[in-house]
Amino acid sequence: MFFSLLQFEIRYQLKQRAAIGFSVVFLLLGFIMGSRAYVPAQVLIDSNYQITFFIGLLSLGSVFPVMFFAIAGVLRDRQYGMEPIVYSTAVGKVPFFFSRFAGVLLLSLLVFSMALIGFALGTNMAAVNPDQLIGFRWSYYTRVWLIMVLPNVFIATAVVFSISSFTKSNVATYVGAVAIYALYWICSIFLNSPMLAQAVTPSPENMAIAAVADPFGLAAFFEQTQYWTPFEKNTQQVAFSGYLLWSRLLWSGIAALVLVVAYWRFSFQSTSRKAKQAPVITTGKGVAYTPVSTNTQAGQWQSFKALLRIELTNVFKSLPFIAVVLVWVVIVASEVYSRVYEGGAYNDSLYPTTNLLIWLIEDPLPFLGLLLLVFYSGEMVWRERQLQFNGIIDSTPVRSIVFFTAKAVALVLLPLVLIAISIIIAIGFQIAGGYYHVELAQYLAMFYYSGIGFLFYALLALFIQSVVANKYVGMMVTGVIIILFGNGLSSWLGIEHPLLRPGYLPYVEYTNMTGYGDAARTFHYYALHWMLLGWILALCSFKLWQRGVVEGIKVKLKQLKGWSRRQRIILGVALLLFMGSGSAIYYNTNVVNDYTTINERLDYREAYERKLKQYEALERPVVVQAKTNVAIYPHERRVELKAYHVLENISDTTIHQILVSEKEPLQFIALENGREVAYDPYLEVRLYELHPPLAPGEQLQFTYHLEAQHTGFSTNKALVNNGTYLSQTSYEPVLGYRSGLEISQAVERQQRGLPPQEEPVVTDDHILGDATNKMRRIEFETVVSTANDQMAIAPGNLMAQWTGNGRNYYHYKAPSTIAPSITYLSANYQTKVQQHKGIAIEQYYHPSHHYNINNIARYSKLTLDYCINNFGAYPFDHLRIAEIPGHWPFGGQALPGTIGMVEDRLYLVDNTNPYGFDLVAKRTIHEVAHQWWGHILVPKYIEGGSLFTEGLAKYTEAVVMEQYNGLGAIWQLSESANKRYFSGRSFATTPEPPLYHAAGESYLSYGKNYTVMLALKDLLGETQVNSALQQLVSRHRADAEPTVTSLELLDEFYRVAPPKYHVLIDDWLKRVITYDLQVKEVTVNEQNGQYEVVLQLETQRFETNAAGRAEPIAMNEPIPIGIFAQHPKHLKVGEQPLYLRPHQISRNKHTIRVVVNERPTYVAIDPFGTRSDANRANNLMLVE
Amino acid sequence: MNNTLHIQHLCKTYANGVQALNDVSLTITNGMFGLLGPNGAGKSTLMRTIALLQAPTSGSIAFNGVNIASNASLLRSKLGYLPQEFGVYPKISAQRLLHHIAVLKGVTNRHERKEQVAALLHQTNLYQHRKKAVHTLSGGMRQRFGIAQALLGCPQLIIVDEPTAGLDPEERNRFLNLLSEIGERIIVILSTHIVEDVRDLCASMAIMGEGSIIEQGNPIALTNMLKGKVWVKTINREALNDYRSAYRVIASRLRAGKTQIQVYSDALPETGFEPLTPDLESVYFSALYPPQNNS
Repeated sequence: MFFSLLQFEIRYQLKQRAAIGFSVVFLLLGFIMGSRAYVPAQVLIDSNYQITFFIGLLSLGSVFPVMFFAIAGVLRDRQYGMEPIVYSTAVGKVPFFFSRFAGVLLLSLLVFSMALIGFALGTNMAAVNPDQLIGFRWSYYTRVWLIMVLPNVFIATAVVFSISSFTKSNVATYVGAVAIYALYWICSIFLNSPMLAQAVTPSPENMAIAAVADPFGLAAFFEQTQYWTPFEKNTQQVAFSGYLLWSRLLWSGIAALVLVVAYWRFSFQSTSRKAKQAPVITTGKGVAYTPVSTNTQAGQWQSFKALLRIELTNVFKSLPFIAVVLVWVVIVASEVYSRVYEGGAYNDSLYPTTNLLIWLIEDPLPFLGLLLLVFYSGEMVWRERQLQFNGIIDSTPVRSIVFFTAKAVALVLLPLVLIAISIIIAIGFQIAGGYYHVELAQYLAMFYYSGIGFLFYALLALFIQSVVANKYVGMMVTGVIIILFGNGLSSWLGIEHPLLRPGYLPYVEYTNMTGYGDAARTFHYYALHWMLLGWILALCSFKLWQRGVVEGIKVKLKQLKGWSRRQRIILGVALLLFMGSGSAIYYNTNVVNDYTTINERLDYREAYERKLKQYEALERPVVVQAKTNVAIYPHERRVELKAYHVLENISDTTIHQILVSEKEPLQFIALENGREVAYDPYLEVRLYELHPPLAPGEQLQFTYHLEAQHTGFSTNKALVNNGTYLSQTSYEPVLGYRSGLEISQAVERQQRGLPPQEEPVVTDDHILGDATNKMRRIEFETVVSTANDQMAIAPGNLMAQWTGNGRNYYHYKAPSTIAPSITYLSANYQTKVQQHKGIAIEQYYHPSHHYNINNIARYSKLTLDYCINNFGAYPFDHLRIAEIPGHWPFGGQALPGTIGMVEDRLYLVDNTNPYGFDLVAKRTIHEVAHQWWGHILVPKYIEGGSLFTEGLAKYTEAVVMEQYNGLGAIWQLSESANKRYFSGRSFATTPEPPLYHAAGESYLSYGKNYTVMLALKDLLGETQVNSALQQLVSRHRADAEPTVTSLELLDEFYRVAPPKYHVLIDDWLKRVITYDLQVKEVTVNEQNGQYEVVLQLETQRFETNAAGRAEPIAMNEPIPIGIFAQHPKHLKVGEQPLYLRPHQISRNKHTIRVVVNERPTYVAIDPFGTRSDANRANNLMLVE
Repeated sequence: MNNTLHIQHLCKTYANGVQALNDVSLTITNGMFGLLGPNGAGKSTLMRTIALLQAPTSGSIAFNGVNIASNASLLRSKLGYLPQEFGVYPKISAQRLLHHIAVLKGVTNRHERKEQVAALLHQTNLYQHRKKAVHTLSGGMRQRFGIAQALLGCPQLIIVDEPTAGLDPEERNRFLNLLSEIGERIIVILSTHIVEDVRDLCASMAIMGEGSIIEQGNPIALTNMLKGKVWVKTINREALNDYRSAYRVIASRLRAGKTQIQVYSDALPETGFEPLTPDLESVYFSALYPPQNNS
């Protein structure tokens, strides 16, 4: 019985067009993922990890086929009126219910498994770099199928099927599917979207919650693999244990339970639960029927209102919509809460500024909004037909346009309701947080900036639904169009130009400094353009609007022909305007600016390399003296730059030729003794011959003028109306071959017939001997001017300031030579200047961003004092800290004597929580320290340089914060640095080098550098480390050409360290060593008011070899053991642990006895993170 | 006011080649008009075409001299339509839905609307159920709701497609009474396959079969035309085919286990046949089974 039912079920489902459609879709998706997978260069595409990653992500999409099959499997009896017949047969409940379920499950599995086949085909058939392949392995795919595919499809099927069979409603079925997604979404918020490598990783507690709560097991998968190095990703198989096992078991159990409940509630009689009442016959007394006059003209408006009301009642009052709204409320609240309150990389909080909250909300908004549009467009358009109410309603004298408009308005209102809800929640957060600066205008603008897209897609969805003959086909087509064109995936099909991507809208970000910025103008154009297209689509869908019986496509097309005169005029005008706005966009994109496709850019880079690679070896002169004249016109988005440089040949060979690669078109260029012998306008390069040639040590004049005007739709975050931050290097011509333009993707190079790129071999000799990236400290002087409502800032002492021609002029001159990092700032600033021991602490900030100004000043002074005392004198009479707009992705940037700090990463950090981490102090110390580490001491531009710049800046953070914020701050700094290291190395694109060979990998710069410096400080003492650093500074601060390298730093450490520790220093700096330290057990015995603490430790040390494998190695080194009366992260200034001393650790297991005078609460090995340890949570143990 | 509905040479061919309407021409004036025909005869297609829910392939319909295809809103404002099958929005009460449809029909005056809706609820005996969601009502009640909505506003042309299906005799009587009351002043087109409905109510009628009008006229006149031409005989079931080939058998039915056949013939077909006083049913059957070639 069961099997024959199942057989019928499968045959029935297979006949559905959806089965074939979904199979093809998943096969293609798998193929695309396999063949175009973007994975880092040294990661293999078809490793078990990667297959799990891709297929796991894709399995989120399995909900769609499940939903379709569930509707076909459960609701078809009702839909086609078969219920009474089927339910009255002799079929038993068990075979009936479970055969239906098994049918849905098997079909969904079959369809989704196509993705695995597609993936295997994609990796093996397409042009994938063979170096990145393992080759097909059954076991990998089977494992992924068992761990990810089977449970996910089962869970999704059980839940959706149960909802479907319980509610017997299409929409409820969709909502069930959406709810499963929402759960995943919430988990990924907890995890801060683990799909991307990033600095912020969640706390272990959040990770655990998310790992268990995510029904798709993805969070658990990420939890397990978050710190996997590329080597591990390539070789290890995903383990079916830990949270992954638990989440799979838990959710499979829940799913099974749901299914059992649904089975229990399922009844053959349950079609209508209420008993039928016998009709009560009353005589037809009462009021007599009389016809009443009608007014169909005046009635149209009333009809519109009535129709709209009924549409909204149908949607808003329906349980499913309420469910979506609830999901949205949860998403918004958790999204906002999780970032604003201690959600940063240092568990820092942010002021809930309006633009921040909007930014947070806008992230998940399109997902639910578009989902509503896709589903409800189908539901609304087809509702009357499906209910068979269309006969009655279509024969009323209401005009078709009124029907259509009512539906369109109701549909558009759905996402707008979501926006409105999110605004209310956001304002609630602001008020609850005591932040009363609610910018209503920004909130209302959401209806425009987020609403326009919804409006267009709503009209598009209505159009599609009125063309197709089936609502599911319509939903699918709409969904595909939105995914394809809305996300720019269409570039896979070669469709890139925004005009060809219906619904494309540029991203507009609001920052307090720049407002909506220049992108807003572009947005308005596109908004108008798509609105006109939407209008045309609306006219067509209105023409296609059918009353009564649905006709075939032929009849529909015929319907599109007969346009009345008025309709023709409206359509004509709309088409004209549409072409007009299209032309305007085209003009602004392609005519005023140079529009290039991705391929054209690659062509350019290929041509550049092919033609100019021969000049790579040309010796180039360097700038030694820079004088500039910069006129910034922020409101016109224009800058004029006139440079009068002196170049010098600092090599030991004579220079005969100079290649000049332009970054911006030059208006004028003059090279002393130079003759232009070639000019390539396409590549924008010139070749000069020098007569006489430039002998070593000789100088020549180099002058150029350029004017950069951002016209049309070209936007540039450097040059904005308020908050200009122009780096000279992004405009200045390069005096040589730009190797950075070479195509770096191996596959792309192969396809274009370019030879593989050579990777430099980093050795000590290379570090000492390489002379390719020469540079000099420069003499610098500039006159920079800006609009009269703004101030302009550049490095150097302010020599003069004046006003003329309605503009403000500033003359800056560096008192001594500076590192050549020149940036010009211009904005409407409020200033605060404080004198500190002859140094003016000058702050320039956005007028409303005053919260942290005093704190910034305080830590500027403390850091200046510390650095001057310990590392050497400060060269300027000022320290300028200027605010720059929030669209910059970094925390801050240090120029000589001047620091650019980003709005929301310093000024809007909510530092009021006395127990929180002082992020303002951390950032201020870091950037001020860069004055020494990067500017006073400039390392040679070669591998290992980041030890000086970032490593020592992080070190300075630690020493200053320990003194003024207490040990608790160190705990947090170490936590963040350690996470940064382990999550960064797991997404590394190149093998991890030891620190002294680091090539600027950010996970080493900001991660391991810090840990190692902290360990050195513990090992050698702060004084010793500082004395080593001071030596380097005093030796090199006057270098014209930077020469200091990591090797010299090592030598200084050897000098101050006892010889027995030299090996350990080498371990940390010259090898890749990780630790696994943990407290296994602790016992405390009280005796006479003293406490004997016995710790059982387990310790291991690993070395990652060249292949990437981590091998256990022996250890013998002092590691701090700490005993605390409170959690170490809560130690304030002046508070000390009960015990904190290094113990020599040489075995894998140790027992340590310590006697303390107070009752201990926590014990820890390496409590403050001086060793790189992927699992730091088990370093600490709570005393029971 | 005297209304006329003028249907001329109406044809409808579906995409799959089925000819649902084949050169249908009718003129209908005030009063009840019965459209009789078996299932699949094209009645519903004709009704939907008149109600502008479906476009004809060719032919035209004029209401009071105005072509309805080019003046759709004019007809719709005077139309009351009860489809053969219909559903409603879930969770919306009968009263509220009637109000909604009344607004759509152009009953803009709130007070008038309220009165008319109340009156119709009374007349269709739904008043005590007015707060209930329509989709929870029984089939008969729902059918009465359908009738109520068709009468909203001021219809001059009412089209009711199989309205009495599913009604119990009491309900059917009430409904037919209501229709005939209204039908004195306006056109009511009643499509049905139940002969009694037409016999009891309609002053004029047409019989449809396979998309064409086979017969039309006054039911009594049509019946009178058959006087003396219908004969009846009780036969063995096995002999039915012989009779079929020999005579124009218009109906056969079982009577107490035996087969009774009706034969159309100008004279007594053979011994054993008795004359039958024709009724409308005879007209219907004789129209449906026209003389065959071999007889």
